[in-house]
Amino acid sequence: MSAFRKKAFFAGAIILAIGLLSVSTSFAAKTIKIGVLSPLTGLYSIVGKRTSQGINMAVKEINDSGGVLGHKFEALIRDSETNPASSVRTARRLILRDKVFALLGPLHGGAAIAVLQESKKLKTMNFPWAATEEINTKFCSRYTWRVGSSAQQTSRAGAVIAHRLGLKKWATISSDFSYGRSVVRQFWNYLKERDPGAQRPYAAWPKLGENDYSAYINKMQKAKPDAIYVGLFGADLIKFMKQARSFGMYEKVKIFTDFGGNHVVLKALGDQAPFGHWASSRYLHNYPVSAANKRFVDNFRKAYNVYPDMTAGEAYSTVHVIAESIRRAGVVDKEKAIDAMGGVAFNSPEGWIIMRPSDHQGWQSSFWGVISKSKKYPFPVLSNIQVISPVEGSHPDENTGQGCRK
Amino acid sequence: MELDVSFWLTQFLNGLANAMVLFLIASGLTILLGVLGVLNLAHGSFYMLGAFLIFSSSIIKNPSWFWVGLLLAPLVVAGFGTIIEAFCLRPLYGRERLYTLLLTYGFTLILDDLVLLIWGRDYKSVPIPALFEGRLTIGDFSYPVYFLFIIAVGPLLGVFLWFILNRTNFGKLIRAAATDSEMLDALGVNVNRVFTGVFALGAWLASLGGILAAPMRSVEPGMGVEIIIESFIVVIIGGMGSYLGAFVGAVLIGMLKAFGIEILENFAMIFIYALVLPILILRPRGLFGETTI
Repeated sequence: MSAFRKKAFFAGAIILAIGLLSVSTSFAAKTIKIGVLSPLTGLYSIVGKRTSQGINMAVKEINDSGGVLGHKFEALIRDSETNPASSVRTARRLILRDKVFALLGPLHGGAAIAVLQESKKLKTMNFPWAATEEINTKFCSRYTWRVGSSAQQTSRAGAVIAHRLGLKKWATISSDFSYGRSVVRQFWNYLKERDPGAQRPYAAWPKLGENDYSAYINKMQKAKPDAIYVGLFGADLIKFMKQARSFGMYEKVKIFTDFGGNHVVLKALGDQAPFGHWASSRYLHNYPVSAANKRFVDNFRKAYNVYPDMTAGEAYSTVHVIAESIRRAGVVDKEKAIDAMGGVAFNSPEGWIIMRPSDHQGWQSSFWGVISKSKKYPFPVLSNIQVISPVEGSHPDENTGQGCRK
Repeated sequence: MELDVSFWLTQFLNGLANAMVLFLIASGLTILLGVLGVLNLAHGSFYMLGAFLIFSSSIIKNPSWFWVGLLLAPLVVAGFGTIIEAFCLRPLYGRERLYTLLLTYGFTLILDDLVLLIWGRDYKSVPIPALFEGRLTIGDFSYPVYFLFIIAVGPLLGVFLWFILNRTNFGKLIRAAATDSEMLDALGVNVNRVFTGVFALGAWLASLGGILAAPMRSVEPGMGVEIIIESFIVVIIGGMGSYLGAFVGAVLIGMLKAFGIEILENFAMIFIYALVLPILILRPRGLFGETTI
């Protein structure tokens, strides 16, 4: 090989390499990456698993139908570890290194607020899983949005049902942290607004992760309420329910659980579920009986052999809402998608969700129902479902919305 | 006023039920500290394993599931403890205490993930055994039978432990090993075997605690880490190495939690630390402890 031919060969190789590189980068530009922070380990890892499944399903649906504006979706799912510092670290890596288009999660309120501030700094839209109301108020920004119901929507809807049933004397119990406090505060304030005669002789605030609620249950019984409102969630809710049951609370009072309609909770409680009592879930696999829900549940079961729970439904809808905002913007651009986000409407499995421009919250109905045994399912489900309009559950405009324009 | 009597009695029993679960875990922890000089952070994981195993046996659709689990699960966990002690902990005895601390901490992490792998991520709930369903009702007073069962089991096991430690050959060896294991070794006793036995006994007790707690609590990874903190407080109060101290400490903590919420509800946890603080300052070896660690 002459020296010239050798040089030409190298030049050719370099050109080829550059060519390949540019092909691969243009290939990469054809995907829209969605970064996800969910608890994949630890206590709430069931949430991480279900949200991942919901997200993967939505991504597959979008890609199977040809993607969005010729772009494929890709989900990068990471462990959020519930710790604010490590959540922020992972969020930064997803945004700066992986160049994600949008960031979903995390679940834990404290970590969610830390991450949404970081996303704001790095100009990337963020959809926290946390339902804390502060996300739509104090900490809201141009980059912060939420598709799933806020704690406020569910709790206020609970107050509507409570008022309808004419229950007067209440005890409440919820974990002593921002989300837990906000659930009960919203319920109680809204009930008081509708029924000034309502009284609450006892409000219990056990710590998050409390194991033994018997002392609180004893105090509740002493207060002799007509009904109790339970803002606990996850394993705490299961512990409380089992202990309340053994103390005979199921027979003595009406029980309202904000989180108790979630499929994974009802399935775990099984025969020990509080049958005949009221519960809510932000998504239900058995309601509404719509084509969108049926398709979602059938596909979910086909893919994972389980029923989708509340967090799976919310995660699934969130990905579709992002896709819709890009379609609406007409161009794959982070800022333009945010401009187009307000007013996005998506026919989700739980019904229509409209992204409200003022507080960046997905407008949707809330569902409360009675926990019942079912012939169709081998686990308890909600029946006699009451649909509460989003107007009842939304943040009043005058208090919110200002922050979100920051 | 009659209502108040039943209220206070209920609160007292609640404290006692809580205390008995703590006692089962703390008693093992304290004996390990006294004899082996090991602070076993993985002790809570044995409690967790007990709870997960009883969950598995609760899937058997037969009223005997609870008794089968109660009998077998602690043996399984004790066997597991034996393996950990013999193969992982033993090589570290001569070294600084930090090593065993790190090793046992490592085991808490490994076991937390292991139960996720084996049992999956779904929330788990263990039903109350049919025999103990319902409540004992006398006039205004009404109390869950299962809590009464827990309250009864605690002192029974206390007596059982006392018997083992004070009236059996194995107990004598344990006490001798606690005092001077080198001398015991020189006398021709296989000290390693005594240590393994103590470790297995501790694992057995902790898993029993997990089994008893499971129908009232949730079964989840991480439950062991939580209980180990409270148990360690019990050990500090009662004194390292003293199982009587563990009993008294557990009852004190249980009562403080139950009555603390009556006095200053949102600060009930403070009472526990407020009790630990003067004990650490004035009597660092604990109420019944003989040596400081």
